Amino acid sequence: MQAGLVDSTPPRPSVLITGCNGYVGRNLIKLLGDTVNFIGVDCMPGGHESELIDLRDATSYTQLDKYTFDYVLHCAWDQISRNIYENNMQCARNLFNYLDQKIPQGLIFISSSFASTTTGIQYTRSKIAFENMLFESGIPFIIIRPDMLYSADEKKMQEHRSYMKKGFALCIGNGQSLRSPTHINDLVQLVHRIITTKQFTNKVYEIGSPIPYSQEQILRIVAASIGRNPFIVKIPTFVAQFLFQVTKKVDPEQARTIGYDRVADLRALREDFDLQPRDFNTGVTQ
Amino acid sequence: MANERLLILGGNSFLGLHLTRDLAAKYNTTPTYLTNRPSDFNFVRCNLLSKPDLHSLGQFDYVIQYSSIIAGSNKKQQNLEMVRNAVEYANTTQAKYIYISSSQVNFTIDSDYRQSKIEAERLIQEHSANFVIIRPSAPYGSPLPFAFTRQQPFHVLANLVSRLPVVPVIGNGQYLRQPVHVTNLNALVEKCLTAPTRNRVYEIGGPKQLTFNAIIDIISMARSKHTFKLHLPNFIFRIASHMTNFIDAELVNAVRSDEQSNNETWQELGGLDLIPFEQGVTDLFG
Repeated sequence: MQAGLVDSTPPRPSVLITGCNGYVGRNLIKLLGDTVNFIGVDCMPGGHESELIDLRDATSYTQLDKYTFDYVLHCAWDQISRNIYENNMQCARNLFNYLDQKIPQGLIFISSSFASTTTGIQYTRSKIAFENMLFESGIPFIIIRPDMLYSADEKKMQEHRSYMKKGFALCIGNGQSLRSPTHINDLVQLVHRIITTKQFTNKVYEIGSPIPYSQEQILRIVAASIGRNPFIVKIPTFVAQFLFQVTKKVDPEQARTIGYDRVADLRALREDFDLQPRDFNTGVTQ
Repeated sequence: MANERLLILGGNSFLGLHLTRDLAAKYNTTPTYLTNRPSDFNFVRCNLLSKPDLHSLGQFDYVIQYSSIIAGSNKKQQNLEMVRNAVEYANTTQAKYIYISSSQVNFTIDSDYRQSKIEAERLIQEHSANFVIIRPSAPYGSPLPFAFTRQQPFHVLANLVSRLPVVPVIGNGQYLRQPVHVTNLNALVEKCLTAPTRNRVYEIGGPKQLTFNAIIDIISMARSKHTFKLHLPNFIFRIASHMTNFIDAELVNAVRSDEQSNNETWQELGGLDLIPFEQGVTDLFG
Protein backbone atom coordinates (compact mmCIF):
# COMPACT_ATOMS: atom_id res chain seq x y z
CA MET A 1 0.00 0.00 0.00
CA GLN A 2 1.30 3.51 -0.91
CA ALA A 3 1.94 5.95 1.91
CA GLY A 4 -1.00 8.27 2.44
CA LEU A 5 -3.56 5.96 0.84
CA VAL A 6 -6.16 4.21 2.92
CA ASP A 7 -7.03 0.59 2.13
CA SER A 8 -10.75 0.67 1.28
CA THR A 9 -11.18 -3.11 1.27
CA PRO A 10 -13.52 -4.05 4.09
CA PRO A 11 -11.89 -6.33 6.64
CA ARG A 12 -12.64 -10.03 6.15
CA PRO A 13 -15.14 -11.22 8.71
CA SER A 14 -13.93 -13.85 11.18
CA VAL A 15 -16.20 -16.81 11.72
CA LEU A 16 -15.98 -19.58 14.29
CA ILE A 17 -17.25 -22.68 12.51
CA THR A 18 -18.09 -25.82 14.47
CA GLY A 19 -18.06 -29.17 12.70
CA CYS A 20 -15.60 -27.79 10.16
CA ASN A 21 -14.63 -31.23 8.86
CA GLY A 22 -18.19 -32.40 8.26
CA TYR A 23 -19.87 -32.22 4.88
CA VAL A 24 -21.39 -28.77 5.44
CA GLY A 25 -18.39 -27.33 7.28
CA ARG A 26 -15.73 -28.33 4.78
CA ASN A 27 -17.81 -27.11 1.82
CA LEU A 28 -18.38 -23.75 3.49
CA ILE A 29 -14.66 -23.39 4.11
CA LYS A 30 -13.79 -24.56 0.59
CA LEU A 31 -16.16 -22.11 -1.10
CA LEU A 32 -15.95 -19.12 1.25
CA GLY A 33 -12.37 -19.44 2.46
CA ASP A 34 -11.23 -16.59 0.18
CA THR A 35 -13.60 -14.07 1.68
CA VAL A 36 -13.96 -15.22 5.27
CA ASN A 37 -11.41 -15.98 8.00
CA PHE A 38 -12.57 -19.28 9.40
CA ILE A 39 -11.63 -20.60 12.81
CA GLY A 40 -12.55 -24.23 12.41
CA VAL A 41 -13.24 -26.61 15.27
CA ASP A 42 -14.08 -30.28 15.11
CA CYS A 43 -13.65 -33.32 17.30
CA MET A 44 -12.23 -35.33 14.39
CA PRO A 45 -9.21 -34.33 12.32
CA GLY A 46 -9.95 -33.56 8.69
CA GLY A 47 -7.61 -30.83 7.56
CA HIS A 48 -9.83 -27.78 8.08
CA GLU A 49 -9.58 -27.45 11.83
CA SER A 50 -7.80 -24.69 13.70
CA GLU A 51 -8.41 -26.61 16.92
CA LEU A 52 -9.46 -30.15 17.70
CA ILE A 53 -12.19 -29.73 20.30
CA ASP A 54 -14.91 -31.95 21.64
CA LEU A 55 -17.66 -29.40 22.24
CA ARG A 56 -19.14 -31.64 24.94
CA ASP A 57 -16.06 -30.93 27.05
CA ALA A 58 -16.53 -27.52 28.69
CA THR A 59 -12.85 -27.22 29.61
CA SER A 60 -11.69 -27.55 26.01
CA TYR A 61 -13.15 -24.17 25.04
CA THR A 62 -10.11 -22.44 26.57
CA GLN A 63 -8.30 -23.50 23.37
CA LEU A 64 -10.33 -20.82 21.62
CA ASP A 65 -9.23 -17.99 23.90
CA LYS A 66 -6.50 -16.93 21.52
CA TYR A 67 -9.00 -16.22 18.71
CA THR A 68 -11.43 -13.43 18.10
CA PHE A 69 -14.40 -13.85 15.81
CA ASP A 70 -17.37 -11.84 14.60
CA TYR A 71 -19.81 -14.63 13.88
CA VAL A 72 -20.48 -18.25 14.74
CA LEU A 73 -21.60 -20.91 12.30
CA HIS A 74 -22.84 -23.95 14.17
CA CYS A 75 -22.71 -27.03 11.95
CA ALA A 76 -21.47 -29.66 14.41
CA TRP A 77 -24.18 -32.19 15.15
CA ASP A 78 -24.38 -35.75 16.38
CA GLN A 79 -26.71 -37.49 13.92
CA ILE A 80 -26.18 -41.18 14.52
CA SER A 81 -25.24 -42.08 18.09
CA ARG A 82 -27.62 -43.61 20.61
CA ASN A 83 -27.49 -40.42 22.68
CA ILE A 84 -28.17 -37.87 19.97
CA TYR A 85 -30.24 -35.64 22.21
CA GLU A 86 -27.94 -35.60 25.23
CA ASN A 87 -24.75 -35.23 23.18
CA ASN A 88 -26.10 -32.29 21.23
CA MET A 89 -27.56 -30.65 24.31
CA GLN A 90 -24.28 -30.95 26.17
CA CYS A 91 -22.55 -29.19 23.24
CA ALA A 92 -25.29 -26.58 23.17
CA ARG A 93 -25.06 -25.77 26.88
CA ASN A 94 -21.28 -25.46 26.70
CA LEU A 95 -21.35 -23.40 23.54
CA PHE A 96 -23.86 -20.90 24.90
CA ASN A 97 -21.97 -20.64 28.20
CA TYR A 98 -18.83 -19.87 26.25
CA LEU A 99 -20.56 -17.38 23.94
CA ASP A 100 -21.89 -15.54 26.98
CA GLN A 101 -18.43 -14.04 27.36
CA LYS A 102 -17.61 -13.64 23.67
CA ILE A 103 -20.83 -11.95 22.50
CA PRO A 104 -20.68 -12.62 18.74
CA GLN A 105 -22.45 -10.29 16.29
CA GLY A 106 -24.49 -13.18 14.97
CA LEU A 107 -24.95 -16.93 14.98
CA ILE A 108 -26.01 -19.03 12.03
CA PHE A 109 -27.40 -22.41 13.01
CA ILE A 110 -27.61 -25.17 10.44
CA SER A 111 -30.78 -26.86 11.64
CA SER A 112 -32.77 -29.34 9.56
CA SER A 113 -36.00 -29.73 7.64
CA PHE A 114 -36.83 -32.33 10.29
CA ALA A 115 -37.45 -29.40 12.65
CA SER A 116 -40.17 -28.21 10.26
CA THR A 117 -41.95 -31.46 9.79
CA THR A 118 -41.35 -34.24 12.30
CA THR A 119 -41.25 -33.91 16.03
CA GLY A 120 -41.07 -37.21 17.87
CA ILE A 121 -37.45 -38.30 17.41
CA GLN A 122 -34.25 -37.43 19.29
CA TYR A 123 -32.66 -35.81 16.26
CA THR A 124 -35.52 -33.36 15.74
CA ARG A 125 -35.99 -32.70 19.44
CA SER A 126 -32.34 -31.76 19.76
CA LYS A 127 -32.49 -29.42 16.75
CA ILE A 128 -35.59 -27.70 18.12
CA ALA A 129 -34.10 -27.47 21.62
CA PHE A 130 -31.02 -25.75 20.18
CA GLU A 131 -33.24 -23.36 18.20
CA ASN A 132 -35.05 -22.45 21.42
CA MET A 133 -31.79 -21.96 23.33
CA LEU A 134 -30.51 -19.73 20.54
CA PHE A 135 -33.73 -17.73 20.60
CA GLU A 136 -33.38 -17.17 24.33
CA SER A 137 -29.65 -16.39 24.21
CA GLY A 138 -30.18 -12.87 22.88
CA ILE A 139 -27.56 -13.41 20.15
CA PRO A 140 -28.76 -12.16 16.74
CA PHE A 141 -29.40 -15.27 14.69
CA ILE A 142 -30.47 -17.01 11.53
CA ILE A 143 -31.70 -20.58 11.54
CA ILE A 144 -31.40 -22.49 8.27
CA ARG A 145 -33.33 -25.69 7.70
CA PRO A 146 -31.99 -27.55 4.68
CA ASP A 147 -33.36 -30.88 3.51
CA MET A 148 -31.20 -33.76 2.20
CA LEU A 149 -28.01 -31.80 1.47
CA TYR A 150 -26.31 -33.04 -1.68
CA SER A 151 -23.77 -32.37 -4.41
CA ALA A 152 -22.29 -34.59 -7.09
CA ASP A 153 -19.44 -35.60 -4.78
CA GLU A 154 -21.52 -36.15 -1.65
CA LYS A 155 -21.07 -39.56 0.00
CA LYS A 156 -24.67 -40.82 -0.13
CA MET A 157 -25.08 -39.61 -3.70
CA GLN A 158 -21.98 -41.56 -4.68
CA GLU A 159 -23.23 -44.60 -2.79
CA HIS A 160 -26.56 -44.48 -4.67
CA ARG A 161 -24.74 -44.15 -7.98
CA SER A 162 -22.50 -47.10 -7.25
CA TYR A 163 -25.58 -49.28 -6.58
CA MET A 164 -27.23 -47.97 -9.74
CA LYS A 165 -24.24 -48.95 -11.79
CA LYS A 166 -24.85 -52.47 -10.51
CA GLY A 167 -28.45 -52.29 -11.71
CA PHE A 168 -30.43 -51.52 -8.56
CA ALA A 169 -31.37 -48.69 -6.19
CA LEU A 170 -32.53 -48.82 -2.57
CA CYS A 171 -35.63 -47.02 -1.40
CA ILE A 172 -37.05 -47.09 2.13
CA GLY A 173 -40.81 -47.33 2.47
CA ASN A 174 -43.11 -46.91 -0.52
CA GLY A 175 -40.97 -44.14 -2.02
CA GLN A 176 -43.87 -41.71 -2.33
CA SER A 177 -42.95 -39.22 0.42
CA LEU A 178 -41.89 -35.84 -0.90
CA ARG A 179 -38.48 -34.29 -0.34
CA SER A 180 -36.85 -30.96 -1.25
CA PRO A 181 -33.16 -31.81 -1.64
CA THR A 182 -30.84 -28.86 -0.97
CA HIS A 183 -27.74 -28.34 -3.07
CA ILE A 184 -24.76 -27.54 -0.86
CA ASN A 185 -23.86 -24.52 -3.02
CA ASP A 186 -27.26 -22.94 -2.32
CA LEU A 187 -26.64 -23.28 1.40
CA VAL A 188 -23.17 -21.77 1.00
CA GLN A 189 -24.62 -18.91 -1.03
CA LEU A 190 -27.15 -18.15 1.69
CA VAL A 191 -24.49 -18.20 4.42
CA HIS A 192 -22.30 -15.90 2.32
CA ARG A 193 -25.16 -13.50 1.83
CA ILE A 194 -25.97 -13.41 5.53
CA ILE A 195 -22.37 -12.75 6.54
CA THR A 196 -21.65 -10.13 3.89
CA THR A 197 -24.91 -8.24 4.44
CA LYS A 198 -24.84 -8.79 8.23
CA GLN A 199 -28.55 -9.46 7.91
CA PHE A 200 -29.39 -11.38 11.09
CA THR A 201 -33.16 -11.32 11.02
CA ASN A 202 -33.81 -13.64 14.00
CA LYS A 203 -35.87 -15.83 11.71
CA VAL A 204 -36.04 -19.38 10.39
CA TYR A 205 -35.41 -20.16 6.70
CA GLU A 206 -36.17 -23.35 4.84
CA ILE A 207 -34.09 -24.06 1.78
CA GLY A 208 -34.29 -26.76 -0.88
CA SER A 209 -35.42 -27.66 -4.36
CA PRO A 210 -38.36 -25.43 -5.36
CA ILE A 211 -40.00 -28.50 -6.90
CA PRO A 212 -40.40 -31.31 -4.37
CA TYR A 213 -39.84 -34.85 -5.58
CA SER A 214 -40.87 -38.22 -4.20
CA GLN A 215 -38.02 -40.43 -2.98
CA GLU A 216 -38.61 -42.68 -5.97
CA GLN A 217 -38.46 -39.73 -8.38
CA ILE A 218 -35.22 -38.62 -6.74
CA LEU A 219 -33.68 -42.02 -7.39
CA ARG A 220 -34.90 -41.91 -11.01
CA ILE A 221 -33.36 -38.47 -11.49
CA VAL A 222 -30.03 -39.57 -10.00
CA ALA A 223 -30.07 -42.68 -12.20
CA ALA A 224 -30.88 -40.67 -15.31
CA SER A 225 -27.95 -38.36 -14.57
CA ILE A 226 -25.60 -41.30 -15.09
CA GLY A 227 -27.62 -42.91 -17.88
CA ARG A 228 -28.98 -45.82 -15.83
CA ASN A 229 -32.42 -47.29 -15.29
CA PRO A 230 -32.04 -49.41 -12.15
CA PHE A 231 -34.55 -51.73 -10.50
CA ILE A 232 -35.80 -49.98 -7.36
CA VAL A 233 -35.80 -52.23 -4.31
CA LYS A 234 -38.33 -51.00 -1.75
CA ILE A 235 -37.31 -51.88 1.79
CA PRO A 236 -40.10 -51.95 4.38
CA THR A 237 -39.61 -49.38 7.13
CA PHE A 238 -39.23 -51.92 9.94
CA VAL A 239 -36.51 -53.74 7.97
CA ALA A 240 -34.74 -50.42 7.34
CA GLN A 241 -34.92 -49.59 11.04
CA PHE A 242 -33.26 -52.92 11.83
CA LEU A 243 -30.57 -52.39 9.16
CA PHE A 244 -29.85 -48.87 10.43
CA GLN A 245 -29.43 -50.28 13.91
CA VAL A 246 -26.95 -52.88 12.67
CA THR A 247 -24.94 -50.69 10.29
CA LYS A 248 -24.98 -47.58 12.58
CA LYS A 249 -24.78 -45.40 9.45
CA VAL A 250 -28.14 -43.71 9.92
CA ASP A 251 -30.15 -42.90 13.04
CA PRO A 252 -32.67 -45.81 13.28
CA GLU A 253 -35.32 -43.41 14.59
CA GLN A 254 -35.25 -41.55 11.28
CA ALA A 255 -36.69 -44.64 9.58
CA ARG A 256 -39.91 -43.92 11.50
CA THR A 257 -40.25 -40.58 9.76
CA ILE A 258 -39.83 -41.87 6.22
CA GLY A 259 -43.53 -41.54 5.51
CA TYR A 260 -43.65 -37.79 6.25
CA ASP A 261 -43.41 -35.30 3.41
CA ARG A 262 -40.67 -32.72 3.76
CA VAL A 263 -41.50 -29.91 1.37
CA ALA A 264 -39.48 -26.70 1.73
CA ASP A 265 -41.41 -23.46 2.09
CA LEU A 266 -39.16 -20.95 0.31
CA ARG A 267 -41.17 -17.75 0.66
CA ALA A 268 -39.20 -16.26 3.56
CA LEU A 269 -35.92 -17.07 1.83
CA ARG A 270 -37.02 -15.37 -1.38
CA GLU A 271 -38.49 -12.35 0.38
CA ASP A 272 -35.60 -11.63 2.75
CA PHE A 273 -32.58 -12.81 0.74
CA ASP A 274 -33.83 -12.85 -2.85
CA LEU A 275 -32.38 -16.33 -3.17
CA GLN A 276 -33.67 -18.91 -5.65
CA PRO A 277 -32.37 -22.39 -4.79
CA ARG A 278 -31.79 -24.71 -7.72
CA ASP A 279 -34.14 -27.47 -8.77
CA PHE A 280 -32.89 -30.96 -7.93
CA ASN A 281 -33.12 -31.94 -11.59
CA THR A 282 -30.53 -29.27 -12.39
CA GLY A 283 -28.43 -29.63 -9.27
CA VAL A 284 -27.97 -33.38 -9.45
CA THR A 285 -25.00 -33.11 -11.80
CA GLN A 286 -23.41 -30.09 -10.14
CA MET B 1 -61.98 -5.61 11.44
CA ALA B 2 -60.29 -6.17 8.10
CA ASN B 3 -57.13 -4.62 9.51
CA GLU B 4 -57.09 -6.73 12.64
CA ARG B 5 -54.49 -9.47 12.39
CA LEU B 6 -55.54 -12.98 13.21
CA LEU B 7 -53.13 -15.88 13.56
CA ILE B 8 -54.69 -19.34 13.36
CA LEU B 9 -52.25 -21.95 14.66
CA GLY B 10 -53.11 -25.28 13.11
CA GLY B 11 -55.13 -23.64 10.36
CA ASN B 12 -54.84 -26.79 8.26
CA SER B 13 -56.77 -28.87 10.79
CA PHE B 14 -60.43 -29.60 10.09
CA LEU B 15 -61.66 -26.96 12.54
CA GLY B 16 -58.83 -24.54 11.76
CA LEU B 17 -59.54 -24.61 8.05
CA HIS B 18 -63.26 -24.05 8.61
CA LEU B 19 -62.45 -20.99 10.73
CA THR B 20 -59.90 -19.76 8.20
CA ARG B 21 -62.53 -19.94 5.45
CA ASP B 22 -65.14 -18.23 7.61
CA LEU B 23 -62.96 -15.36 8.79
CA ALA B 24 -60.57 -14.75 5.91
CA ALA B 25 -62.78 -12.08 4.40
CA LYS B 26 -63.34 -10.30 7.72
CA TYR B 27 -59.85 -10.30 9.22
CA ASN B 28 -56.25 -10.09 8.07
CA THR B 29 -55.86 -13.82 8.58
CA THR B 30 -52.67 -15.92 8.68
CA PRO B 31 -53.23 -19.64 9.13
CA THR B 32 -50.32 -21.96 9.90
CA TYR B 33 -49.55 -25.56 8.99
CA LEU B 34 -46.86 -28.04 9.88
CA THR B 35 -46.67 -30.82 7.31
CA ASN B 36 -49.57 -30.50 4.98
CA ARG B 37 -50.09 -27.16 3.28
CA PRO B 38 -53.47 -26.25 1.79
CA SER B 39 -53.11 -24.47 -1.54
CA ASP B 40 -55.60 -21.71 -0.76
CA PHE B 41 -55.08 -18.79 1.64
CA ASN B 42 -51.70 -17.58 2.76
CA PHE B 43 -50.60 -20.54 4.87
CA VAL B 44 -47.22 -20.28 6.62
CA ARG B 45 -45.29 -23.10 8.20
CA CYS B 46 -44.89 -23.06 11.96
CA ASN B 47 -43.68 -25.73 14.32
CA LEU B 48 -45.05 -24.60 17.67
CA LEU B 49 -42.30 -26.44 19.49
CA SER B 50 -39.80 -23.98 18.03
CA LYS B 51 -39.92 -20.52 19.61
CA PRO B 52 -38.04 -18.84 16.74
CA ASP B 53 -40.54 -20.36 14.31
CA LEU B 54 -43.40 -18.77 16.23
CA HIS B 55 -41.75 -15.40 16.68
CA SER B 56 -40.82 -15.32 12.98
CA LEU B 57 -44.53 -14.91 12.29
CA GLY B 58 -44.58 -11.30 13.52
CA GLN B 59 -47.29 -9.35 15.31
CA PHE B 60 -50.97 -10.26 15.61
CA ASP B 61 -53.99 -8.95 17.50
CA TYR B 62 -55.42 -12.44 18.08
CA VAL B 63 -53.82 -15.85 18.31
CA ILE B 64 -56.13 -18.85 18.03
CA GLN B 65 -54.65 -22.25 18.72
CA TYR B 66 -56.11 -25.44 17.25
CA SER B 67 -52.78 -27.30 17.00
CA SER B 68 -52.71 -30.34 19.19
CA ILE B 69 -51.24 -33.80 18.98
CA ILE B 70 -54.10 -36.26 19.31
CA ALA B 71 -52.47 -39.65 18.78
CA GLY B 72 -49.11 -41.29 19.46
CA SER B 73 -46.70 -41.35 22.37
CA ASN B 74 -45.33 -38.33 24.20
CA LYS B 75 -48.33 -36.21 23.20
CA LYS B 76 -48.89 -34.76 26.66
CA GLN B 77 -45.42 -33.27 26.96
CA GLN B 78 -45.43 -31.96 23.40
CA ASN B 79 -48.92 -30.48 23.67
CA LEU B 80 -47.93 -28.63 26.83
CA GLU B 81 -44.77 -27.34 25.24
CA MET B 82 -46.72 -26.04 22.25
CA VAL B 83 -49.21 -24.27 24.51
CA ARG B 84 -46.44 -22.83 26.68
CA ASN B 85 -44.70 -21.39 23.61
CA ALA B 86 -47.92 -20.01 22.16
CA VAL B 87 -48.91 -18.35 25.45
CA GLU B 88 -45.47 -16.80 25.80
CA TYR B 89 -45.65 -15.58 22.21
CA ALA B 90 -49.14 -14.10 22.68
CA ASN B 91 -48.03 -12.38 25.91
CA THR B 92 -44.92 -10.94 24.26
CA THR B 93 -46.87 -9.61 21.31
CA GLN B 94 -49.83 -8.53 23.52
CA ALA B 95 -52.26 -10.61 21.49
CA LYS B 96 -55.50 -12.07 22.82
CA TYR B 97 -55.03 -15.83 23.02
CA ILE B 98 -57.88 -18.21 22.25
CA TYR B 99 -57.25 -21.86 22.97
CA ILE B 100 -59.45 -24.54 21.46
CA SER B 101 -59.51 -27.17 24.19
CA SER B 102 -61.88 -30.14 24.31
CA SER B 103 -64.96 -31.31 26.16
CA GLN B 104 -62.84 -34.33 27.09
CA VAL B 105 -61.53 -32.40 30.11
CA ASN B 106 -64.89 -33.34 31.69
CA PHE B 107 -64.64 -37.03 30.78
CA THR B 108 -64.73 -39.40 33.75
CA ILE B 109 -62.30 -41.81 32.13
CA ASP B 110 -58.78 -40.47 32.03
CA SER B 111 -56.35 -40.38 29.08
CA ASP B 112 -53.06 -38.68 28.26
CA TYR B 113 -54.92 -36.48 25.82
CA ARG B 114 -57.40 -35.40 28.50
CA GLN B 115 -54.58 -34.75 30.95
CA SER B 116 -52.73 -32.69 28.36
CA LYS B 117 -55.83 -30.53 27.86
CA ILE B 118 -56.38 -30.11 31.61
CA GLU B 119 -52.77 -29.15 32.22
CA ALA B 120 -52.72 -26.90 29.17
CA GLU B 121 -55.76 -25.05 30.50
CA ARG B 122 -54.10 -24.70 33.90
CA LEU B 123 -50.95 -23.38 32.27
CA ILE B 124 -52.95 -20.84 30.26
CA GLN B 125 -54.88 -19.68 33.31
CA GLU B 126 -51.67 -19.21 35.26
CA HIS B 127 -49.55 -17.55 32.57
CA SER B 128 -51.68 -15.95 29.87
CA ALA B 129 -52.40 -12.24 30.25
CA ASN B 130 -55.50 -12.29 28.06
CA PHE B 131 -57.15 -15.56 27.13
CA VAL B 132 -60.32 -17.44 26.30
CA ILE B 133 -60.54 -21.22 26.48
CA ILE B 134 -63.22 -22.91 24.40
CA ARG B 135 -64.21 -26.55 24.95
CA PRO B 136 -66.18 -27.82 21.96
CA SER B 137 -68.12 -31.07 22.22
CA ALA B 138 -67.77 -33.47 19.28
CA PRO B 139 -67.54 -30.76 16.61
CA TYR B 140 -68.74 -31.65 13.11
CA GLY B 141 -69.38 -29.94 9.81
CA SER B 142 -69.17 -30.26 6.08
CA PRO B 143 -66.16 -32.02 4.56
CA LEU B 144 -63.59 -29.71 2.95
CA PRO B 145 -61.66 -30.30 -0.27
CA PHE B 146 -58.36 -30.93 1.48
CA ALA B 147 -56.48 -34.11 2.43
CA PHE B 148 -56.32 -33.79 6.22
CA THR B 149 -53.62 -35.80 7.97
CA ARG B 150 -56.33 -37.38 10.08
CA GLN B 151 -59.87 -38.22 9.02
CA GLN B 152 -62.71 -36.60 10.92
CA PRO B 153 -64.61 -39.06 13.17
CA PHE B 154 -68.04 -37.89 11.96
CA HIS B 155 -67.02 -38.16 8.31
CA VAL B 156 -65.70 -41.66 8.86
CA LEU B 157 -68.94 -42.61 10.57
CA ALA B 158 -71.06 -41.01 7.84
CA ASN B 159 -69.06 -42.85 5.19
CA LEU B 160 -69.50 -46.16 6.96
CA VAL B 161 -73.22 -45.62 7.35
CA SER B 162 -73.53 -44.62 3.70
CA ARG B 163 -71.63 -47.61 2.39
CA LEU B 164 -72.27 -50.49 4.75
CA PRO B 165 -75.36 -52.19 6.14
CA VAL B 166 -73.54 -52.75 9.46
CA VAL B 167 -71.50 -50.28 11.53
CA PRO B 168 -69.12 -51.37 14.31
CA VAL B 169 -69.73 -49.62 17.64
CA ILE B 170 -67.40 -49.48 20.64
CA GLY B 171 -69.26 -51.14 23.54
CA ASN B 172 -72.98 -50.64 24.03
CA GLY B 173 -73.16 -47.25 22.30
CA GLN B 174 -75.19 -45.76 25.18
CA TYR B 175 -72.55 -43.15 26.02
CA LEU B 176 -73.63 -39.58 25.39
CA ARG B 177 -72.35 -37.01 22.94
CA GLN B 178 -73.43 -33.43 22.34
CA PRO B 179 -72.29 -32.69 18.79
CA VAL B 180 -71.76 -29.02 17.97
CA HIS B 181 -71.86 -27.75 14.41
CA VAL B 182 -68.66 -26.02 13.33
CA THR B 183 -70.74 -22.99 12.27
CA ASN B 184 -71.77 -22.51 15.91
CA LEU B 185 -68.24 -23.05 17.17
CA ASN B 186 -66.88 -20.48 14.70
CA ALA B 187 -69.57 -18.00 15.69
CA LEU B 188 -68.49 -18.35 19.31
CA VAL B 189 -64.83 -17.89 18.38
CA GLU B 190 -65.75 -14.74 16.49
CA LYS B 191 -67.71 -13.41 19.46
CA CYS B 192 -64.64 -14.00 21.62
CA LEU B 193 -62.55 -11.88 19.27
CA THR B 194 -64.81 -8.89 19.40
CA ALA B 195 -66.00 -9.11 23.02
CA PRO B 196 -64.04 -7.24 25.68
CA THR B 197 -64.33 -10.23 28.03
CA ARG B 198 -61.10 -11.95 28.94
CA ASN B 199 -59.81 -14.88 30.94
CA ARG B 200 -62.90 -17.06 30.49
CA VAL B 201 -63.60 -20.74 29.89
CA TYR B 202 -66.54 -21.49 27.60
CA GLU B 203 -68.10 -24.86 26.81
CA ILE B 204 -70.08 -25.32 23.64
CA GLY B 205 -72.09 -28.31 22.52
CA GLY B 206 -75.14 -28.96 20.42
CA PRO B 207 -78.64 -28.17 21.75
CA LYS B 208 -79.04 -31.67 23.22
CA GLN B 209 -77.21 -34.81 24.26
CA LEU B 210 -77.52 -37.90 22.09
CA THR B 211 -76.39 -41.46 22.63
CA PHE B 212 -73.87 -42.71 20.11
CA ASN B 213 -76.52 -45.17 18.95
CA ALA B 214 -78.93 -42.30 18.32
CA ILE B 215 -76.27 -40.46 16.34
CA ILE B 216 -75.94 -43.48 14.04
CA ASP B 217 -79.71 -43.65 13.68
CA ILE B 218 -79.90 -39.95 12.73
CA ILE B 219 -77.14 -40.34 10.14
CA SER B 220 -78.89 -43.43 8.77
CA MET B 221 -82.20 -41.58 8.52
CA ALA B 222 -80.49 -38.80 6.62
CA ARG B 223 -79.37 -41.48 4.12
CA SER B 224 -82.87 -43.01 4.14
CA LYS B 225 -81.64 -46.37 5.30
CA HIS B 226 -81.49 -48.58 8.33
CA THR B 227 -78.10 -49.48 9.74
CA PHE B 228 -77.40 -52.43 12.00
CA LYS B 229 -75.05 -51.68 14.88
CA LEU B 230 -72.46 -54.29 15.64
CA HIS B 231 -71.48 -53.77 19.28
CA LEU B 232 -67.94 -54.95 19.84
CA PRO B 233 -65.77 -55.02 22.95
CA ASN B 234 -63.07 -52.39 23.46
CA PHE B 235 -60.12 -54.67 22.94
CA ILE B 236 -60.95 -55.19 19.26
CA PHE B 237 -60.83 -51.44 18.66
CA ARG B 238 -57.63 -51.20 20.68
CA ILE B 239 -56.03 -53.75 18.38
CA ALA B 240 -57.36 -51.88 15.35
CA SER B 241 -55.98 -48.61 16.72
CA HIS B 242 -52.45 -49.93 16.27
CA MET B 243 -53.08 -50.35 12.55
CA THR B 244 -54.43 -46.87 11.86
CA ASN B 245 -53.81 -43.33 13.08
CA PHE B 246 -57.54 -42.66 13.05
CA ILE B 247 -58.12 -43.53 16.68
CA ASP B 248 -55.68 -43.61 19.57
CA ALA B 249 -55.64 -46.73 21.78
CA GLU B 250 -56.31 -44.77 24.98
CA LEU B 251 -59.18 -42.87 23.38
CA VAL B 252 -60.91 -46.20 22.79
CA ASN B 253 -61.13 -46.54 26.56
CA ALA B 254 -62.18 -42.95 27.15
CA VAL B 255 -64.92 -43.07 24.55
CA ARG B 256 -67.35 -44.61 27.09
CA SER B 257 -67.36 -41.35 29.08
CA ASP B 258 -70.47 -39.23 28.68
CA GLU B 259 -70.10 -35.77 27.21
CA GLN B 260 -72.00 -32.82 28.56
CA SER B 261 -71.46 -29.19 27.66
CA ASN B 262 -72.65 -26.26 29.68
CA ASN B 263 -73.95 -23.85 27.06
CA GLU B 264 -74.71 -21.34 29.80
CA THR B 265 -71.03 -20.49 30.06
CA TRP B 266 -70.96 -18.24 26.98
CA GLN B 267 -74.42 -16.64 27.30
CA GLU B 268 -72.77 -13.38 28.47
CA LEU B 269 -71.60 -12.95 24.86
CA GLY B 270 -75.14 -13.09 23.47
CA GLY B 271 -77.22 -15.82 21.91
CA LEU B 272 -76.41 -18.37 19.26
CA ASP B 273 -78.91 -20.49 17.35
CA LEU B 274 -77.50 -23.91 18.09
CA ILE B 275 -78.02 -26.24 15.15
CA PRO B 276 -79.70 -29.54 16.12
CA PHE B 277 -77.78 -32.60 14.90
CA GLU B 278 -80.89 -33.75 13.04
CA GLN B 279 -80.59 -30.61 10.93
CA GLY B 280 -76.80 -30.32 10.67
CA VAL B 281 -76.30 -33.98 9.78
CA THR B 282 -76.88 -33.33 6.07
CA ASP B 283 -73.67 -31.29 6.00
CA LEU B 284 -71.66 -34.42 6.76
CA PHE B 285 -72.26 -35.58 3.22
CA GLY B 286 -70.91 -32.41 1.60
